[in-house]
Amino acid sequence: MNEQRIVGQAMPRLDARAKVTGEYVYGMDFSMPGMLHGKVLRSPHPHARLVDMDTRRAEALPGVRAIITGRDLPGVMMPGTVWDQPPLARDRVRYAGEPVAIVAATRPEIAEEAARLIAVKYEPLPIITDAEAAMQPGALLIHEDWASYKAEDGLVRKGNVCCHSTLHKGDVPQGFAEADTIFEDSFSTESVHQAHVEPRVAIGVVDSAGQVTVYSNTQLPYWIRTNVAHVMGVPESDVRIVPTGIGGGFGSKLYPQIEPFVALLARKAGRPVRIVTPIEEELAAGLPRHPCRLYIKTGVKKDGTIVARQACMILDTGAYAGSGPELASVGCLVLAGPYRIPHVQIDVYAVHTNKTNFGAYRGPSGPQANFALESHMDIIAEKLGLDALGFRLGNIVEEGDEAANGQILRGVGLRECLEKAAAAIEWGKPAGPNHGKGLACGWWTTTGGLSMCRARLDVGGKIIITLGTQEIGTGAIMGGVPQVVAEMMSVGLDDVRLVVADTASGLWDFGSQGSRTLFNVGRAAQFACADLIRQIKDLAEKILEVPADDLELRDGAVVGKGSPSERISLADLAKLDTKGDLHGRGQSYPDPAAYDPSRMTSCLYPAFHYPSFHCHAAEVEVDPGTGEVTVVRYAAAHDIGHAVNPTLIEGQIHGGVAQGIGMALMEEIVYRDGHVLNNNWTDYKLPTFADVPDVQAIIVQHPVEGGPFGVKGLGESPVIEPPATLANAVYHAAGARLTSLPITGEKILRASKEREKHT
Amino acid sequence: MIRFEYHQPRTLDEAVALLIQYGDAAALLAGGTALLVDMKHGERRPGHVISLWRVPGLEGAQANGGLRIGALTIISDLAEAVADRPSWNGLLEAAWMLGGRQVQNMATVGGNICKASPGADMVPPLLCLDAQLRLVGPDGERTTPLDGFLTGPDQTAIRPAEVLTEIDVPPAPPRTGTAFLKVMRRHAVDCSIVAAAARVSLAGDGQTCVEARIALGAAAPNPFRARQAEDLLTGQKIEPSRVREAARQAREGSGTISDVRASADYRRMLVETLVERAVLKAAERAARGGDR
Amino acid sequence: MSQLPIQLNVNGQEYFMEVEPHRTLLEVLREDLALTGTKSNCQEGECGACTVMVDDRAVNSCLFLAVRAHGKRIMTIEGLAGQGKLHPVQEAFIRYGGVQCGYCTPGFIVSAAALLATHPRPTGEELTRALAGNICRCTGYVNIRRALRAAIEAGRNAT
Repeated sequence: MNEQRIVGQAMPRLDARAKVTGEYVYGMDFSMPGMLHGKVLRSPHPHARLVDMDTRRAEALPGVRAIITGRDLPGVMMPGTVWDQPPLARDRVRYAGEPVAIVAATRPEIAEEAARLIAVKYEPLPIITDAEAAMQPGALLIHEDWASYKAEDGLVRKGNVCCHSTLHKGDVPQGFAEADTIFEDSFSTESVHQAHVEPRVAIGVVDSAGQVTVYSNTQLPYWIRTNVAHVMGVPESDVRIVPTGIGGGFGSKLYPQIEPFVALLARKAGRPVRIVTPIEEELAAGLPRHPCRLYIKTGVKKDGTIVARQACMILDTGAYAGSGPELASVGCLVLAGPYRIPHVQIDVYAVHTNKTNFGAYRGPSGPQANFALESHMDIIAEKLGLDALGFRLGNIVEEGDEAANGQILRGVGLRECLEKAAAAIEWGKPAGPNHGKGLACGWWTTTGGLSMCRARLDVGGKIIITLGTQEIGTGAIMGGVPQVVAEMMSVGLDDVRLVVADTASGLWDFGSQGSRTLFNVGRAAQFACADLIRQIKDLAEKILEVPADDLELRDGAVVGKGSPSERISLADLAKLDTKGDLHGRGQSYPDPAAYDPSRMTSCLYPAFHYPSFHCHAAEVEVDPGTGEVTVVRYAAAHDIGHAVNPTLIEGQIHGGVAQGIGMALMEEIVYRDGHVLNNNWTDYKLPTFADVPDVQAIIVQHPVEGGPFGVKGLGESPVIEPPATLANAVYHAAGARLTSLPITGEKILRASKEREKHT
Repeated sequence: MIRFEYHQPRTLDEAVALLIQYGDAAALLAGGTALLVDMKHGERRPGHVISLWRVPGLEGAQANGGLRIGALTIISDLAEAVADRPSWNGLLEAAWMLGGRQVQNMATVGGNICKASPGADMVPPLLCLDAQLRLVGPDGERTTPLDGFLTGPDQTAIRPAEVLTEIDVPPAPPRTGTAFLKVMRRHAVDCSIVAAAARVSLAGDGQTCVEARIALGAAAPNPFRARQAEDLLTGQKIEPSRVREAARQAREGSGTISDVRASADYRRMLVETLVERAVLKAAERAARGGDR
Repeated sequence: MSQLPIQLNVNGQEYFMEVEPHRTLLEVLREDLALTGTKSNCQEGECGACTVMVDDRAVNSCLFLAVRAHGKRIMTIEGLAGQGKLHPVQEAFIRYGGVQCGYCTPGFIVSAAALLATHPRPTGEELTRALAGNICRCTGYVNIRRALRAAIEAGRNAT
């Protein structure tokens, strides 16, 4: 490993200069000649029958070029794990903010005015906004026809429950019988939004031959292609998605929201159409994190050994299934935790309510489940008189252990994470008055799936890498992948050129998501480089008359292994490649992790591939007069396998922690009767420069075989532990155990006053 | 964004004439940080926007004995003008916490007062300083105390076609300190859940309070003075127990509001905490001698 | 609605144009002058992505009417680097990982440059007050702070 020249170095990412000068082109910066502006008309009602729609006044408005309603798309349902959602509501709206019509006009103001002129007659229906109430027998059904919907095989669905996932290991009643003490707690979390600083934007173009092109700041171009083609009723091969620069996504930009609309409008109007989702609509009808209720019960021996765990998590998935079914199984895995427990029973339900479809926000299901689990762990430790760190160390998984789902764990650096994070905040040393320390640990996945890559030796000895998914900000594509390539090809980082291809290239990719990007795209790039190297050596063999096996790449040249004088530069080789032979191909499709299927039912995401392990520790100060929380110091230790670029890794950790601080202490989408009360950034509170301390990122490296140089996923995991970490620290600072997020000054002060009353 | 006609009067008389001409259809543009947001959301739809920025003499704050604040003084200029004067620290603290720097560079003191939001952060410290308002209207100029000018959320006692031109702060008595504190959900750039400002002017003994002012923001439909709490301090030695009593009085006397940001109950707790702290801080500044 | 003639000095260059009074400086910069380095997001002065300098002061261009900018000097991110040489804050953002998705970056850098122009050695508190109006969702601000400290330190050593 010491011989690496580039992998492991904190080098500037390739896109940094364009980003600091304002030259980088984002989705928001695109425009097309003759482009029209689109507007989505959304339902003001959380639940209503759509009785009638009259578009005549809107059509008559000068400048209006196209109007489309749900009735123009009869029978069309959006693809998904459950096909339950029409692209535009047809006869029923199920959440406030659901699209009912789309308009294109010459100017944005005209499109807005036209949308206002569409007369929609609604007949309001009773609403159901509480997921637990929606699970009860006899509850109002949000989809009466749920049973007839096309859905993924094996999903357990019933009524408002669009997925019930279970994880079952051992004999749980027996486990509780063996326990000396049983602990039970319940928790709740609110929805929080990805709050990408760049809005969601798309431009659609349809030519006279019917070829559809959509420019979109999506994280997942190939899934957008599937959806656009389906909604438009054209073959997927006639749809081209061009992924633009992305100003943050965090899972929000995975699923189609406006892409089918711009394409439909463009086809009807015969002109390019652009739609931007404004913040008011984004907060009310985007794809934010699932609000949750959690119940958790643990049986423990006197010595602190956990013998049994039972947990239930209810994901409010909103009006349509969206990512809910998949995230139910993720909830199972997070709640089982990185602990050795002989008897485990987890039930997770994804349940419909009259709210927007909740989506896949960074580490989806993770922070909610971890908040419950790791708060609960602290409550147990406290009651048993055990040190919270020691209690965990006594129960965590180690190298080669089996996780609750039966998968065998490799590269387990959890102990080191716990020890290092705790040491960083001087765990064990008492905190001052009104100060408290807390920690939390967890595990997470490195999502697999296909990534494809091409590597070409180009003029001047440059390496051109072409791949199929965008840089979303993490630096995986514009930092990590080029470093892997430069290392492989033994060239400088300056010699690597990176091209993000649109879907017309056919370079299929499962997208910039799921903590998978560097692992999978980097791996595909490695394979492509290996292929290219073989070709380069074959050509060099002919020129240098040295067997390919005795050649190696060194400093931009091919040289004889023992005879460095036998040498030809990559630039010279490129000149000789007049037939264009020198291009390598690579595709990564890692084997899915093996697990025990007999323990899981209705789980679309049954295992954590190449899991990562982490521990966060924090010290907070709570103002006893106001309840305000100040995060005094924060350390986050992440076992990421191998650090390709320490600066980028630290950046992921810092940023995830900041988002976690937001979820823990201030962020929440406030619903009342199915309406969002705070759909703007004045009332939806994001952490500022003043709210995040100098987070200490601790890199732990227990490599796994599979990813480039031993890497594991990192993108999502730093957001998972902050809520539990801070809840535990607040408990020690203020004596108040908060079981609901966000932990506001108001809740702390009330809980403290309650406690004073009882003591 | 709604559309409108834009007017740029060059004198106050022209501005007043335009206000008379367009009546309810007119909106005055100062910093624009509130008006533009309202117009973008369609919450205000004035057909005529009258910019005050070409009218001379409305910008800038001058400190000599007292403080003369032009209505168009931006928050960051006010902060500069009052820095290093303990008697005006409360104003400085309020200015620093009003929005981010970009907003401080646009929003004006006059705009903050006339917007009259429950959490108008410049109002409590100005109430503590007995600020007077100068207004020019069809009937000429008049002066009125800030106290009582705000009459409800988004409502003031401004008369038809009047323009707020200046905020006058009289010279502070010797040995005066002021302070401003606010609680927010996050640590910066946030609306007050509750804000408290205090002024303490001490007698020559450096301990007895000759004049006290306490004003609260975001606790009621408008910022207001907690007069009964003030009375508990006037003529008394500033001692922790007495200050606590005044804080409790302020809490009792607060008809607090409940909204998406916080409950009335929590706001009452904050009133007590913040009043106590603000008074003590103001007293400490006063005890150090006030302005020298 | 009638258009009004305005004259703007943007990054040292004079522009004469006619604009409708409801249009913001942000729209005019991005749409009419194709200076798309200034970013558009929240439209209500909360995120700071649209920060530009007007007569040397950082403002939210989404809340600044273009007609009000008549006769003023505007500096956008495009004007910060001179003669091919990046501003020290730009250099530091690259070197210390102050950039991730980059969408908040132009606004952040303009805010920081405006501060450092008048306060070359700000305290931590001054830094926070000057930058709390710029929301970054990627970096957690840690590497931005690191970059700014480095730029300030470099400025100190240079003088």
